[in-house]
Amino acid sequence: MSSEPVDVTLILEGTYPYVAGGVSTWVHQILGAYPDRKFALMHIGAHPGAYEKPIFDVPANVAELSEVHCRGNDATGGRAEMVDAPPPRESPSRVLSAIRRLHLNDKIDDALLSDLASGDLSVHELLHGDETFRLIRDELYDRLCGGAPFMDFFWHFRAMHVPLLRILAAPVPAAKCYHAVSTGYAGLIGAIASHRTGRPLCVTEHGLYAREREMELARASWIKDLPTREACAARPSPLRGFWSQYFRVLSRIAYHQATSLVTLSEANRRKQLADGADPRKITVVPNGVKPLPLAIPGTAPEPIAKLPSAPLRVGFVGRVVPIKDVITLVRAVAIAKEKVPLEVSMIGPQDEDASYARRCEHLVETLGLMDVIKFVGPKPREEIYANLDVVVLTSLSEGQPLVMLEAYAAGVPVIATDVGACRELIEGGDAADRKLGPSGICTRVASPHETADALCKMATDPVRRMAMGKAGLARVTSRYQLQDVVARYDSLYAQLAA
Amino acid sequence: MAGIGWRLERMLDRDSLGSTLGAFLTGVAVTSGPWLLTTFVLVALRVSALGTGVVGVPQAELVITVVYAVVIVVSAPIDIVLSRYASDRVYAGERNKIAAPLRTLLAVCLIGFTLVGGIAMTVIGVPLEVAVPGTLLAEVVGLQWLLLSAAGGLSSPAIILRAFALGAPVSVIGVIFLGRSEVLGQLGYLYGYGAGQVVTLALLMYGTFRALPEDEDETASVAPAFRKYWLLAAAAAAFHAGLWVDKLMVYALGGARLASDYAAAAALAWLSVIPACAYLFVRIETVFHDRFQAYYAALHTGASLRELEGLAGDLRVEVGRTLRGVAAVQGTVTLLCVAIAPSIAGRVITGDVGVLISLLIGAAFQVVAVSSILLLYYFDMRREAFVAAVTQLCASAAATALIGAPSPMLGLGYAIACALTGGVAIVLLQHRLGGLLERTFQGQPYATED
Repeated sequence: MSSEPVDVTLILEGTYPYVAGGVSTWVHQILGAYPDRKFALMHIGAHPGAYEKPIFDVPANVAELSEVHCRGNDATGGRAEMVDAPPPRESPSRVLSAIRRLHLNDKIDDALLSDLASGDLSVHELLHGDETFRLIRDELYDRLCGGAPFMDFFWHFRAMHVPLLRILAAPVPAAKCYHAVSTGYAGLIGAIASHRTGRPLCVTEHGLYAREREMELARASWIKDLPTREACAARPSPLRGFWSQYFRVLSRIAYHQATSLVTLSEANRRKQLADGADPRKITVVPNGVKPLPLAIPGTAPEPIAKLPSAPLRVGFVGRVVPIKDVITLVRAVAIAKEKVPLEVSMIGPQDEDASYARRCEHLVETLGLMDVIKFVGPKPREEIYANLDVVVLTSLSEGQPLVMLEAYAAGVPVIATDVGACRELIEGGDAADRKLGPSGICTRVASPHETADALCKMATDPVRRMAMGKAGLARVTSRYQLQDVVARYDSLYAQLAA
Repeated sequence: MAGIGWRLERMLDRDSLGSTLGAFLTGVAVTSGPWLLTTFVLVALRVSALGTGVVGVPQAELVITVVYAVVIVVSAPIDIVLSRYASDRVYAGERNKIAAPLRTLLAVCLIGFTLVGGIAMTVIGVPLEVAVPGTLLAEVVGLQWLLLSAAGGLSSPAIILRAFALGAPVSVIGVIFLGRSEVLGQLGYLYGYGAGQVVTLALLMYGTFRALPEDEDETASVAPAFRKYWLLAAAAAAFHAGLWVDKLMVYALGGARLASDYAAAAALAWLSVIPACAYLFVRIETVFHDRFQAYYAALHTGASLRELEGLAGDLRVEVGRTLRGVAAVQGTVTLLCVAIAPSIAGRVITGDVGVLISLLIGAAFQVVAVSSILLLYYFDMRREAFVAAVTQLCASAAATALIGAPSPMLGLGYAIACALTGGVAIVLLQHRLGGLLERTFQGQPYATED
């Protein structure tokens, strides 16, 4: 690790430079935008070897790329021997006390951060110490998950806090300021580093981490629900709430320590406020894109209105992962194709959650849509939009999707679910923006029928579709330019590093 | 042992004196069968030797005693690891991984016990013509114990009982016929006794390999089990050394004759633990096993904390009840034995009645200690079992040496050591059971620990 502090340590979880997606693209833009600033990247991955190599060319102004993993190397996996208890501690662990307060006390304060930052609890003590077991047995189990099997609660407690300890122990590259690109583990590392060094922390939330985790947890199959007397029914496990609450607290720790909270849209700002963020800290800095070559104002060709009989060229652009709810899109296509001809391209990587991608492909086969829907993998963005009439996003959660901005920059309208900043991007954020007209259609989450209706409207009314494309182009040109984002962060970094 | 607990429960459930007695006799047969038969053979031979004209009994007895002592101590760590390996493979449904490692171990032990037997014969200074059958006997007994542990791991008491039940009479007949032989002279005793043991070995081998599947995995190895269970092996070595160390000390301090009398009295005293062993066996295979199973099964069937605490409490209560039961049975038997000791001492063994009484009291404490150590093994508390075994070894050696030999208080050292070991084992057991729930959970390894 270099001893000279860098200007900014960017803390990233499961994203740049290993994973494709909007956040990674945004990070790459930011790094490239300030060649004179020195960055360090700290990436949080699930376990060593989870990512083979960076998929982005990390720019030269990145002095260091370090890794921290939530789980250790599996080299000792399969060890079946019982493990001895560590020797009793001379004084109670401050970290364990903080863990207790994380779960039982609603208050986030500097004392909590100090206790967490003390790092006085080893993974071995957490896993095998009697003090930990007393906390689980005497204080947490009944209050948090009394109805759940104790064995399940015990293992979930372990699985929850081993990453926490590993993260607390991870060395963070010294910097003039820390910038976490989400809350969660990244936000926690940023908060602890900021607390330890006294340097400021900026948190940018694209999606809302805690809410996204909550959505995942509500559907997670790795949490077993509780059986009921009725054979086919199950009661939701309190462990889902246990995890959700934990991630909410992690977000609040980052909110507490952050000097500046950046969000992408007014909608997300309201949610952050509801989640306990200090309104004085929040700044809205929307995403931005570079103009596409074909869409430079004044040179872009008019979108061609095809005849209604020609198939509507639909594109999904993004990772094939559960949070994008590709299943709903497939179902919507199955409904819409009965009324209008469609050609659907699924453009994006499928390797992040291969089992989900297989499930989507299997559904396409089951519904007999192989001639309609093609999984084409990732493509350079210059090659994507010229061949699309409409982009569809059926995500369960979004921040402010870059895909939508890119589509608009190419004059392509968007059908998107009402999550994150999608409605703002489609209908306009304020009165002046709304005057530009809708640049697509907003639908409800997980509603294949609404998405199908929207597809039918786009297919049967090319004139309206063209108008939407124009509105999108006007919107992105007037409000979502990359140079504006660069200027805002330049000013923010300058302030924080001062 | 697979199925035997269920059979015992059915016998006890009939709630008649006959069925209860049947259950406890089954316990006697399983826990003490091989040892009883071997002891019976040796005692029967001793008693009948004088009347049948068998010559060279004292030297043959010395050779046999030394062979058993040395082989049992040396083979104990190997045997216990093999037993655990076999049990683990049975539990994992991998019975085809037992035969190949067992054959390898038999080959290694054949060579090893030839050396061990040869060294032991050299140390006790018997002539070559006695040393040869003595060494051969060491090989046979070493392999017997290895197969005993394999069959024990396979939960096949029938294999063991059948082998010893058929081998024992062959030994008796062999000694009576070959012991009278003018050609063999005093060697006839050893060859005759050895013939019966060879029969036992052959039957054990046949029964054990027959119980294993034919499609064996030739690549299986027992070596990792030695790394995994090294503490268990050390505990077994210490425990068995502890059983013999007082005899060795008496031999060193008082000579061969005194040691022979002392060993005979100790063997006789040890017979008094049979009822307690049977009680322990029946109790562990029935009520205790049910509670043990209930606790560990509840961990995986969604039990709440309160339920687990209740089941852990039940298990602790049952451990206490089992140990108290063993102590009560043993106490009763010991009182009876002490009462009749004066009349036995002169007839069956030579030496002071006080020694026999000390050894009887020592045996009573030792059976409680052994029960506690067995329960420690049951809960996989290897370190505690090791500590208890080492306590027995060190205390027995030290106390016997302190009292000295010959001495009218001979045997008292052993009794003190057994009492101390029993106390240590019970304290360790109670301490660890007090934190059973904590250890059950906090002792579990986490797959990705660094």
